[in-house]
Parts: sequence; structure tokens; C-alpha cells
Amino acid sequence: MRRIKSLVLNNLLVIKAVFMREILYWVRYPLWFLTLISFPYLISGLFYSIGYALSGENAIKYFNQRAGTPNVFLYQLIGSAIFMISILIIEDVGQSIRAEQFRGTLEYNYLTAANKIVLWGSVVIPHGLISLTTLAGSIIPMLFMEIKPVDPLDLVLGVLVLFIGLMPLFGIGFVVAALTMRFKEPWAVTNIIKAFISAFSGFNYPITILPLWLQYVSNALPTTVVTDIIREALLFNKRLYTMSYQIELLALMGLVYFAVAITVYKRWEEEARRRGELSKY
Amino acid sequence: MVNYPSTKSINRFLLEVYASVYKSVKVYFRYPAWIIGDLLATPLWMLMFIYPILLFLPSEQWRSRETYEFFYWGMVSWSVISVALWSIGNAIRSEQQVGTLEQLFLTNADRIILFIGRLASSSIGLAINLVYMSLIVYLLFGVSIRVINIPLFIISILFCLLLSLGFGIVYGALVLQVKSPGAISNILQFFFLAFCGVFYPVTKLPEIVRPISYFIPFTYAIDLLRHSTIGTETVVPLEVELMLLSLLSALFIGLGYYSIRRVEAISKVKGKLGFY
Repeated sequence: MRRIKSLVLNNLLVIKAVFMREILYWVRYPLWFLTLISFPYLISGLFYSIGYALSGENAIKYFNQRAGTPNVFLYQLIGSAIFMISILIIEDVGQSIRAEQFRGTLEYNYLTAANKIVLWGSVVIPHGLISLTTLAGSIIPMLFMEIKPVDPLDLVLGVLVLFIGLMPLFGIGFVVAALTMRFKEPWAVTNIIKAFISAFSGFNYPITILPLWLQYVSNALPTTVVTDIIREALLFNKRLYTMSYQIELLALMGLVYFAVAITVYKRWEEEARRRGELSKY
Repeated sequence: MVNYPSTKSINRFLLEVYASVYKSVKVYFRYPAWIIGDLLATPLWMLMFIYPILLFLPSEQWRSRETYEFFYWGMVSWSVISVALWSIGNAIRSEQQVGTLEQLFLTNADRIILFIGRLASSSIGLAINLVYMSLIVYLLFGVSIRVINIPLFIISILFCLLLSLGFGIVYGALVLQVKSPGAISNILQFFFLAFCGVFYPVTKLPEIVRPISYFIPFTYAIDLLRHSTIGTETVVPLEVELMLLSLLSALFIGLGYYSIRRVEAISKVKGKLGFY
């Protein structure tokens, strides 16, 4: 019992240390907060303005025909905010390892007794917190302007859905971390994963406009399911508890992605240790 | 007056340019995964942008050649803006991160040429993207990209690169000052996308915001690029646009020289050159 207690306490210490370090980095570069809050608005505004410039007054009519809502801005804003969060989570774990390689401190981390999954994985907590604040900061003003009544139960469920939705992304983040360990250069792989998820998650368009085979691909992505759930709830006033099938699917995806990712990460980390390639870059 | 040794002799100048370009190109090709990653990700990013835009168009335009040509040249213009915002700023940033910026600034090399190499590697990336994206547009949408006036197209690309260089240096000076360029670059990128007529002619913007577009030099470069490739009307007469672009390029390069020297001097006094 004492051993378990000490294990939990030690891991909490690691999480606290990583949390403090990451928040310190965030505070050191305050302009990033501005970017995070403004980005969803910028992306939404960009698509809206391009649409308006190309089709004038009819732009909203055509949009409504395909997306099922004339509320272009909120539709795009929800998708863009989830896009931002997804990209942050996917990048974080791999980038944190890469940054340690650059600074020459990766091997020191490996000399500590800390659990490496906790060490690298806990990066997601401060970044997740920042991401959720971003989502709130982005969407709440718009909901307020739209005077959308939000049920408190839906709000709790919404946060829960987001957390469940973050799990598979966290798994993808670990795959990126494993690739960083193995191939050193995470940017190329992260770029492909980010582009793939961004293109087929329906962040800014309904996936029904894709060819049927691509819709199957799209539906296998957790980001598609999260976007769909949040959009249904906030834009189409669908109650979250009526979407239990989608939420269960998301939880299942979380487990599968996470299990696969941890297996891949452990294997490649072991190989990097064996070859003495941990800090090479 | 700029007074680095390289400005006194053409041979020294060329040697410095060669060294800078050599280093940058070597780094570029040392990470082939970047190039492959870029090639694989580009069509996906294109889809991420084209599908939301298609939502606003009537069905008949989904099959129109002009829609995809506009989109293709929009993506090319966006790449030019990215080169301006990221190449020199990021070159300075990466030297700061690997701890070599101070050593570089101890040399008597021209400050602009030190980082100009990154523009060369970015231009290689741009050229690869130009060819590759046209292939992707052909494969995905069956549209072959045309260039109706090749000499003017080459001139417009040259202006795009010169403006990117000038703007990139001014921006690089800002990076030296504020350190983390990512946040500003991202915001500026969207600002330019909205106001420079990247995906549509600026004449389609509401009249009230058009003056903002006319103040941004990239508006004219992108306008000339589109005029030379798909024959759209220029926002000002062609001769005026060419003259304006020559002046703006020279102005920005001059401004870049001044600002980077000024920021370097301030950073040296404060001892903040290598901070990041």
C-alpha cells in the first residue's frame, strides 16, 4: 500500500514539474495566447470572406444547402477551434521530446527515475488546459452573441466529450513521439498527420460532400466524431445524452488509439536506447 | 551606407552568397523526410482549403476550370507570403536556438547575406510545389494549369521573391527584437490572406477595406502573377504596377538593411542577441 502511495505521489510530482515548466514557457511567450484565441476567428473569417467574395449574397444560400445551417460563422468557428486543439495535442508530445533533443537535455530526463510515459505524456495537461481555455475563449463570446441557451448538463457532458476526444489524439501524439525517437525529425511526419486529420475531419465542411470511400476514412478519425458531436450540440441544439452511440464510439477509439500508440512508443524507445540514439538529432 | 567587406568587392559578395546558399541548401537536402513530408501533405492541405470554399459556390462552379485555376494560383501566392514570413525570420530563430547566432554576428559578413540562403532553399521548395501542385490539381480535378504570358510570369515570380526578401529582412529584424516569431507570423499570414487578394481579386472586397489592400505590397505582386497566368485585369495599369513593384521591392530591401542593423546594434548594447 505504501509503495502504491509513493508511486502515485512520485508521478504527481512529475506531472506538477512538467506542468510548471510548460506554463512557464507559455507565459514567457504571451503572444501565443493571442494566436490561440484569435486563430479560430481568423480561419472562420477567412473562409467566410472568400465565400462572400466569390458568391456575394448567395454565398450563405449555397452554404446552407450543403451544411444544413445558414450560421456560417458559428459552424466554421466550432470546427476551427477543435482543429486548433487537435493540432496542439498531436504536436505537443513529439515536439517536447524534440525540444529536449535540441537543448541537449533529453538524456538527463532518461537518467531520472521518472516514468517516461508520465514524463512525456503529462505535457498534454498544461497544453490541454490552454486548449480548453482557447475553445471556451473562442466559442463562448459567439454563443453569447447568438444568445444560445446552454443546458448545464450538456455543458458537463460537452467537457467530458472533449476529454474523451482528447484521448485518441493523445495516442496519436505518442506515435509522433515514437517517430521522433526513431527518425529524429518529427516535423515531416507531424505535417502529414496534421494535414490528413485536417483534410478529412470535416472541421470546416460536412464530410457528406466527400466521395463515399473517403467518408469511411473520415468516420474512422476521432476528430470527425468530436466535431460532429460538439457541432450537433451547439449548432443544431441536439442534446448530448441522445448521442450515446457516438460518445461510446469515441471512448472505444480512445482506448484503441491509446493502446496502439503506447505499444509503438515503448518499442521504438527501447530500440533507440539499445542503439544509443536517444539524443542524436 | 551599408559597409560590410562584402559590399566592397564583387568576389567577396559572391563568396558570401555562395556560402550562405550552400549551407542552407545542404541543410534542406539533409532532411529528405521534410521534402517527402511536404510533398505528401501539400495535396491534403489543398483539400482542407478547397472543400470549405466549394461550399459557398453554386454546383456548376464545382466543375469550372476557372475555380481551380484561381485556387491553384491562390495556393502559389500563399506560398510566396509564407516564404516572406517564415524563411528569414525562421533562419534567425534557428541560429538562436542552436546557439550560433552570436558567432555569426561576430563575423564581418553582410547581415542580409547571412540569412539569404534560407530564401534559396525556400525558393527550391516553392518551385517543387508549383510543379507538384499543378499535377495534383490535374489528377484530382482534371484541370491542367496554364500560363498565358510566360515572360511576364517569370517577372512576376521575380518580384514576388524580391518583395519576400525585402519583407523577410524587415520581419527578421522584428524576430531579433521579439524573439518568438511564430505567433505574429500566423496572425500576419491570415491578415495577408484576407487583404492581398490571394484567393480572389481585391476588387471583390468591400470598397471600405480595399484601401488596406492597396497599402500591402504583396497585393500588386499577386495581382501581377494572376494577370500573367490566367489573364485577370490588373488593379492598376500594367506599366504602373511594374513600376510600383520595382519601387516597393527596393524600398523594402533598403528598409530591411536599416532595421536589421538598428536592431543588431540595440541587441548588442543590451546583450540580448542570442536570447530566445
